Amino acid sequence: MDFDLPDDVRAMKKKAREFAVREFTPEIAAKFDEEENYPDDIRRKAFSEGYIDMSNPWGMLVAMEEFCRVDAGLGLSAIVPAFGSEVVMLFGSEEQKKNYLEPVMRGEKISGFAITDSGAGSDVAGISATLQKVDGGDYLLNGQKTFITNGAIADHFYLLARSSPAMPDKRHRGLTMVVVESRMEGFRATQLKGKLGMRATNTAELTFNNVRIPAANVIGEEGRAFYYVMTFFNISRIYVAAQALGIAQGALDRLKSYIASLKASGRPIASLESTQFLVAEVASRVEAARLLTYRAASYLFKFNPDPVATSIAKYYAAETATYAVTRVLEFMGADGITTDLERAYRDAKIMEIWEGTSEVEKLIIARMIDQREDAR
Amino acid sequence: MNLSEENRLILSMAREFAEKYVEPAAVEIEKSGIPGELLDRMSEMGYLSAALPEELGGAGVEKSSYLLILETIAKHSPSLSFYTYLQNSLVLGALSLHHVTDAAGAAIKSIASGRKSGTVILDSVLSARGASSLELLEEGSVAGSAEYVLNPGADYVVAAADTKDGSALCLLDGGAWPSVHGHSLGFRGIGFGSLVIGSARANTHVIASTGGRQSVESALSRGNCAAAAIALGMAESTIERAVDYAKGRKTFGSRLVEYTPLAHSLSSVMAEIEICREYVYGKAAEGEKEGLVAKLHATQLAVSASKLSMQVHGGNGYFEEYRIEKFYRDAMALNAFSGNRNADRERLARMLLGDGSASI
Repeated sequence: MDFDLPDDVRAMKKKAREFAVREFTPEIAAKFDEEENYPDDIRRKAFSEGYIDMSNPWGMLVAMEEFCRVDAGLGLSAIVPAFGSEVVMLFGSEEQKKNYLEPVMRGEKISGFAITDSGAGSDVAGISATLQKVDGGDYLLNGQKTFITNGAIADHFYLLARSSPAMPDKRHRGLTMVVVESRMEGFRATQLKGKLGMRATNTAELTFNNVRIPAANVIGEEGRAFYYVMTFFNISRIYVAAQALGIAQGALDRLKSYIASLKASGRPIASLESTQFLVAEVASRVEAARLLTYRAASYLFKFNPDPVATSIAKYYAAETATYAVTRVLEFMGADGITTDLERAYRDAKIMEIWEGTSEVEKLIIARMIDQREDAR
Repeated sequence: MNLSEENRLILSMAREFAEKYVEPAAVEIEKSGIPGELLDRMSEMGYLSAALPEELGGAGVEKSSYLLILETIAKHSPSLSFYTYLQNSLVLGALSLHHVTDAAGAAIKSIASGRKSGTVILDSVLSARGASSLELLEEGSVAGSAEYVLNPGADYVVAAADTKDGSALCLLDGGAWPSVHGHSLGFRGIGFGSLVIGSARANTHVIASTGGRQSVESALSRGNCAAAAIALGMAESTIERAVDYAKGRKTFGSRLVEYTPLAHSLSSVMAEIEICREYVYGKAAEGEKEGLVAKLHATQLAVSASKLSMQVHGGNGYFEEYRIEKFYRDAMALNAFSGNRNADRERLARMLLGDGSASI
């Protein structure tokens, strides 16, 4: 057991931190938050500096953490252009990889992952979008999706729809994943505005009106996509844990520098044990969240994912993000909500909701914990 | 909860008022401030001077009636409720601690009418940084700046200004230049910003030549149960919305309320709200300690209730359309702007445990 990051990962972490501090200036972060705009310039810079590289998952993970430590909205925006691409990497055909994965890896295109609809979030098998087979083996896609990250900026989406009716007790069957391009006829994306936080990221509602999907765009096998989605969540949840971890660490950073400024001016509150305990309590949770996240990542990156470890990491890190920001903000009061910590407070809450709510993570943990082969 | 006849009448009128006038304006208030027409109606109802005794030009309702008004309005618009508290408890509250001069009388009248508004400089209370201060110069003008100002565009500024041997309480009716910040966390309907102050002698009215800081702190402290009432209204509203949602929304084939974790969380917060409400109306107005207990508890409850409500609403709650995220923001803003939590906790510890406690 080795708790130290390898040198190359450490170097990447340092580089990512420098990038975030340099690029996510307070003015830039405030502007994209206020205007609810996607920072395309930052996306390009992050790409050209090598932060979107699926051959270096540890690099992406620590970059996500360091980026979100400075600003979560911009941080996620910088790495999210390849969102969903793991699915085509794992289950796609060579042709699909050539058409959809490679342009994203070259920084030319943006992908998205479309599961949730207005009637079903956590309940993945409850979705209502449908794929209907037509002559020649193609499909017609109908329905809608909501809260789709990159929704109005992505060139294509890995989308889940029902291709055969849900059977009682076997609802997870009959779901198929296809690649939908935003330029296809019948596709429409409307950006959803008015988010509490993560406002630099693009979120949209998608509607599909008889969108013709070529048979060649089916990912893997028809009817098996529930498994692909769950596999993907085992990956994406670890990255969400890293986002949450970054936010929590960012809150701790801000707490420490605030206390240091109080100490410098001789304010008694800086030396109280209650203040020291706050630092210790937040720091302990941040550290626990980091260990859980890295551990889950280490299984995944060795191609041996542990869904329990993943869900524990995602659940715990997300709760740690809201815990850390809330505690620090309550402590700093008006001195806190007049800083960018207020944005972190707004950003943090979604961590407990997206890519599986805390409730869903807890169900996975409880249901799968006994299925583990060993006492991990 | 025992309501007096006046309480009952005022509560029923406040509910009607809030549903008829506040609810439809709530979104607009957040986007472009409180409409003048609504302020006129607030004034007609006596809300803008509810807490001020009649002999000083206020509506002079019972204290518990004032709390009911704040609670009821907060359920629909926390910004408007906080604004009402700012005018009543803080601006008029600080002015009415002293002999009402002509200038103060004019300010009270204008604020009660809704035509003008006031703010109080709370930097030295709210900030632990040793925030910027104001000075009362010998020629009778006030100079300095303030950073944490809600309603920075106010016509009247009540502030403690340092003097040679202490601080004076001053009322300024000009000479304060606001710089409004864009996107504040909460109470967006009131506006938040900083002020640069350089009032001329003619705009500067000394309300009390000594004990200025104590006056501001005293107004804030006397307003603690009012802040608690706002928090209570916010907690109630956000949970009522969560309950409605949980009863209607289905996931995995069942309504959300059928799931034990969610039902337990919701019902325990509902129970806490009920207990807190009993305390706010039963004891909070009795004294300084009780007011402090009520505020510390209720403001915390508003934060946790809004967090739970957001979780119940899932992704939907994250969007302004569902009007949950606003409570999430405003609850934290109320925590920050209704006093300094660390100082309050120390004060409470000393009240309960004696001098010397909470010092290491």
